[in-house]
Amino acid sequence: MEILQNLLGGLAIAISPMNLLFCFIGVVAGVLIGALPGLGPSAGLAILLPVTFGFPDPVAGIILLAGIYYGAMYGGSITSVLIGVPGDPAAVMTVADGYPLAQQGRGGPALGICAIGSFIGGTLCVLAFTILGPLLAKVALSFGPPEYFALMVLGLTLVASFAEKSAIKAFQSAAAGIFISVIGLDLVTGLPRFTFGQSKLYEGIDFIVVALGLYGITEILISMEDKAISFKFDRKQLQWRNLLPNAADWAVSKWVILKSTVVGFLLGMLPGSGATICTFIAYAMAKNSAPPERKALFGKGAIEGVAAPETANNAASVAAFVPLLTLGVPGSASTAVLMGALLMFGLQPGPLLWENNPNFIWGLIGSMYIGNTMLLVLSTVCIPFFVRMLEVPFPILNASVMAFILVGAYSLTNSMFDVGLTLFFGLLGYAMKKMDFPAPPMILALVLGNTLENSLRQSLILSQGDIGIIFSRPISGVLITVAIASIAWIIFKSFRNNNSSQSELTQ
Amino acid sequence: MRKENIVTAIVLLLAAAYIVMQSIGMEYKDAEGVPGPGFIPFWSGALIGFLSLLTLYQNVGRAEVKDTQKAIFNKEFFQNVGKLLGASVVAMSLVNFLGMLTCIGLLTGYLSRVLGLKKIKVNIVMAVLTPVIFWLVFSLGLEMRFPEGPLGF
Repeated sequence: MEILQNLLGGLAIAISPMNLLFCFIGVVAGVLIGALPGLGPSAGLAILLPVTFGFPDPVAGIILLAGIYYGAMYGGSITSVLIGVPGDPAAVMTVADGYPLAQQGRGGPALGICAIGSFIGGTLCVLAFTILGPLLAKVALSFGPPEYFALMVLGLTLVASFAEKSAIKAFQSAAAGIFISVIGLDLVTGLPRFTFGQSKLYEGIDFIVVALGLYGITEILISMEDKAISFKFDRKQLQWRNLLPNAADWAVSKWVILKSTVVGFLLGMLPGSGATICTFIAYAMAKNSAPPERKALFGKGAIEGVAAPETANNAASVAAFVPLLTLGVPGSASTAVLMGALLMFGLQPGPLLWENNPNFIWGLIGSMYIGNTMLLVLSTVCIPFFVRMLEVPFPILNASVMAFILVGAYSLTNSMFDVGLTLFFGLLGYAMKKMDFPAPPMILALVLGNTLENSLRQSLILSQGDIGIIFSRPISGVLITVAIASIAWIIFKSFRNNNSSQSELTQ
Repeated sequence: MRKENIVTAIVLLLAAAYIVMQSIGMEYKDAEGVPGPGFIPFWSGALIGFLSLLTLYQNVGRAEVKDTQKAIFNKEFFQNVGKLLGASVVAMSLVNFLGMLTCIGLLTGYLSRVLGLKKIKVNIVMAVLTPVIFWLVFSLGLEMRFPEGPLGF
């Protein structure tokens, strides 16, 4: 009953004209950002984050950013289906069946099932979040510094462990992020750390500067390697009457959508798993559970092969808010950017946020219901508009995004020093991308670094310097053991892979 | 990528050594065993160093695999950096003389051209329209203040 009352209060906040407008802007911007190859949700959030600084109400800011986040999750499907180019990594699996469907002249229904799956997955997960969120927040209130320390270490190790290419490089990226987070004055002793005599570094390096460089500028530099100037779409498939899936499409997709919602929600809550992994698992599940005659269609144009990943990625994007808002620990790069945004608004994510700022939490949850409905309407009625927007030449988009990044970096502290740092991190991000060093672990570590250090200090104050406190308490003991086991597994795997590749070469 | 991996590992190893050396100079733990300001940097440096050694172990002395991939830090890499970051550095260094919005206009006009859109009219429209939109969003809408040039914007 209390949940229902809170939810109604949240919906009342979310439907205020100003918040509705920001939700709309966020969803539209998110769809476009998600559709553009390179610019994923993390980059989009980082680029548009400075815009929210001037907002008088943090609820409006987070509603805009949340709209961008789940809008981008859907947006990736547009280019995946129509031209076979995934807008972001979470839309890679959508290409497998979406593009063949478009080649068969069924791009409209494929986009339609993406929209319906995203709506159902997103809305059911918001419903689950509405019920589970307050309960988890109450459980999280019993967490002390050792539990938080162990949870953050686990989050970082899992993000690195799930790295696509090299886990060693992912761990290095996370360690570098931790190092960057300590730059500046030590909060306890006041000692400057790694400031190189620059007083502007005393306050540390803002994570937004790093995110703008690592995501925004790097993505522009990567897109410059592609010589294409703009997209060309076949608009005949996109009349809105053609977007609705038929009864047969719905019959084969409905259970897949429900199963993918569960997969997306459960895996999306885990730190480090992210939406991309959920899409792969949901697709594999849909394929394996399909009858033989449908199974043969996967990869050639099975509509449920489009429904599964698109449902899972939107479900995961909502689920990612669960650890962020109940524990204060982001599980992915995008939620790390959102956590940074909350900190910029002066709000500390975690269980106390539910008690201290209920209007904020419930306003956000209310906006998610409205945002998902808005997304469904926009993604069916406004597809021709989105497609027209996506035909804007890349040089215009990239030049505008670069201008946004520079002005955004300047607006942080009205300092050209931050602009210089952003450009430096852009160069670093480009080199990292070329060398297969993933950026998400660095961003996550940077956002968590100070909290990690504080919780370690508090833990050792509690235990009078005995590190065993982290291992001896049940929850922190389990969490830290899993973290250590995942590190040991990565090291063992890298040695094993090295030995096997050596023996292959000598044979 | 073997050669690049080795060079990167050596650079990171040196950086890690510097971080560890510097953090040793800071307090590692206080008298009550609570981590001091040097604790976290020490371990982050140590981890970077250890992982760099692991990378070196994986790559040094390993038979060269025929590499079909083109060099990573090639001419294109430096051209892209020069075009985007070089132009941005120049534009931002002129902000205090010409004003932020003027520099943003000049930068977007230039970038739209060097990034591949060779239509001078569109480049000029970009150079004029972007600062106007930025003025509307940031200066008027969000009440942000930018350095002004001799023209007053």
